[in-house]
Amino acid sequence: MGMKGNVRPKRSVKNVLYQILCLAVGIVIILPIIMAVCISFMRPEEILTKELHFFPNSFRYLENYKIVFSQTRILRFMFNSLVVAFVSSVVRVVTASLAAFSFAFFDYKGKRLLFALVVGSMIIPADVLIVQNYFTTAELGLINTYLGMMVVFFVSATNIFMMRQTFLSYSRSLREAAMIDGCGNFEFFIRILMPSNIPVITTVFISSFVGIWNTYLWPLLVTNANEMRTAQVAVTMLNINEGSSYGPGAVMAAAVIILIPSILVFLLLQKRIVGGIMSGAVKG
Amino acid sequence: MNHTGQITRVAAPKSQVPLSHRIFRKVEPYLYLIPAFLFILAFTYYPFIKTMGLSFFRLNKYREIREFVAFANYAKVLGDEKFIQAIGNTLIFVVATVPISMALGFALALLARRRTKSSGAYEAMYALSMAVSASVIAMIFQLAFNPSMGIVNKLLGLDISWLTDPKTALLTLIIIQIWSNIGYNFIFLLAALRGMSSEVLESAKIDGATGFSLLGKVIIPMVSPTLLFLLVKDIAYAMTTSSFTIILTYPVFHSGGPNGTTETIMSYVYGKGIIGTNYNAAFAATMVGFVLSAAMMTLSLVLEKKKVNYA
Repeated sequence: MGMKGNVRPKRSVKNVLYQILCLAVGIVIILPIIMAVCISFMRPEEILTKELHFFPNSFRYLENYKIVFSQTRILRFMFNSLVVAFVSSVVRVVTASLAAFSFAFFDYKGKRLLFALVVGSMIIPADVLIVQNYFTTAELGLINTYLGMMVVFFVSATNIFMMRQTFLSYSRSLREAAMIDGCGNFEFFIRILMPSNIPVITTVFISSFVGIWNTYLWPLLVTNANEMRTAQVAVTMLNINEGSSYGPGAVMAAAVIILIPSILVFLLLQKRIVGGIMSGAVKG
Repeated sequence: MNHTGQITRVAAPKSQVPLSHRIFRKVEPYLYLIPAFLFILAFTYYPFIKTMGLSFFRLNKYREIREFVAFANYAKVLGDEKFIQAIGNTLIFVVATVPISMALGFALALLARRRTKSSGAYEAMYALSMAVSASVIAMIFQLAFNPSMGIVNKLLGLDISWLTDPKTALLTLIIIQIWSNIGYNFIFLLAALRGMSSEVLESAKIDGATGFSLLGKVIIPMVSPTLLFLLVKDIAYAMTTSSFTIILTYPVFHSGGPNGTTETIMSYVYGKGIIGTNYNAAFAATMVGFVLSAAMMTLSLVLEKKKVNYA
């Protein structure tokens, strides 16, 4: 901008007020999260009071967190979530990049039809399929296994589409040059194409990770053993309406604990996630 | 000759390339598709076609086919008051959540469009709901709407059992859904607003367009591809929604809320096919849900087609 020197004071006051307004709106929007954090530090009597009591008396009251860590297997649940989200995202990158490589760099019979099948699968919402997929998974003997929790996430048509778009803008002549140097197709894919497309790979990986980490219904269906629950499923089982012994403070503490990884990943890589979704969606 | 052939010639004369290599060249691109198609076929097309096929048969509770019944399952499910109510709830849900979440996301994007020193901070706050899972959102709002300890009643001085009163249960789920949609809509619209050409904006301002006329005549047409994308995406999502009903009302009511007031199409399917063993109803209801959501998406595309500016 280079205008700092000649900004008149009146304007900068207005600018500061504008920023304060924007920040205030932001705080209103994330109030539910702030509320959860506050309650997670409250004593039971502070929560049960009839009066409006937003901030805890002390942020040093950690009993709710102690209950979560000692009475539930929260670390195990988070580990399960981590395994499911991490492995599924890696597999997604592999399936999507291989398919995108094929669609972007080769000409062959039936390519248009096969690509149409990929795009067509985007029209079918995943939730519509869960009952039948549940039976498939059960018949494969995958109930209460990590593989069963992950198998429906192993491919994403949106990711194939997104990576194909990126690969298409990658010059074919570079590939031909590489092949003249004696580089095979697969070698080109591994040694040149993938390393030079780290941004889109990161986008696919991170957006998959946050999405799968946060998923609820599928892991609920295919697990019934406590130790195989994901964090998202487990937190709803501490339900305050069921008269559980944990209390609302502990439920909020658990919610805050499992919220931290997805918010951290999201904040650190927000730009990349959004950029990737935009290029995959709107341009197409 | 295609380029693959040319490269072959550089490596070795064609006659010397063994047959196996030439076959490999032919099948190679298909090999790269195998992993993706294995999962797309097994977990998208196969269940879809199987659900559709089975919806025309009568099944027992072990999912064994008893007889072909054509559209009888559909007639039965569409004659079920509970299912009609679920369709109605889903449509109310779509009509209430989609426009409000888009409008809020748009308003926030307009507010955040100009970059300031603290942009990073409030953009992250506006977008945050995108990173919060349905189950965490459900737990937080369940407490906020709790009749005795919840902050909502305390703030408003009311005494409402938001999630268990048939008059307010669906409204409560709608509020929760809108909150969880804000971040997603905001982030796309912010990117669209920032991607607008500043020259067009400036020249419109010089022509005297301000405030609402600038918004209506210049800004909205320019971001209309993003608005359309979000509209279709949000409708598709809302038509198949079930998470909040399943998390918040199934444990209490063992069905879709007080008097079925929060039952959605997909939570009905969940109740019949997963909790119960009525696959005849579950599969027919699934297909009705799919057709309705496809119809809603097509409708929104057709209605918007003329207005969208793809320039």
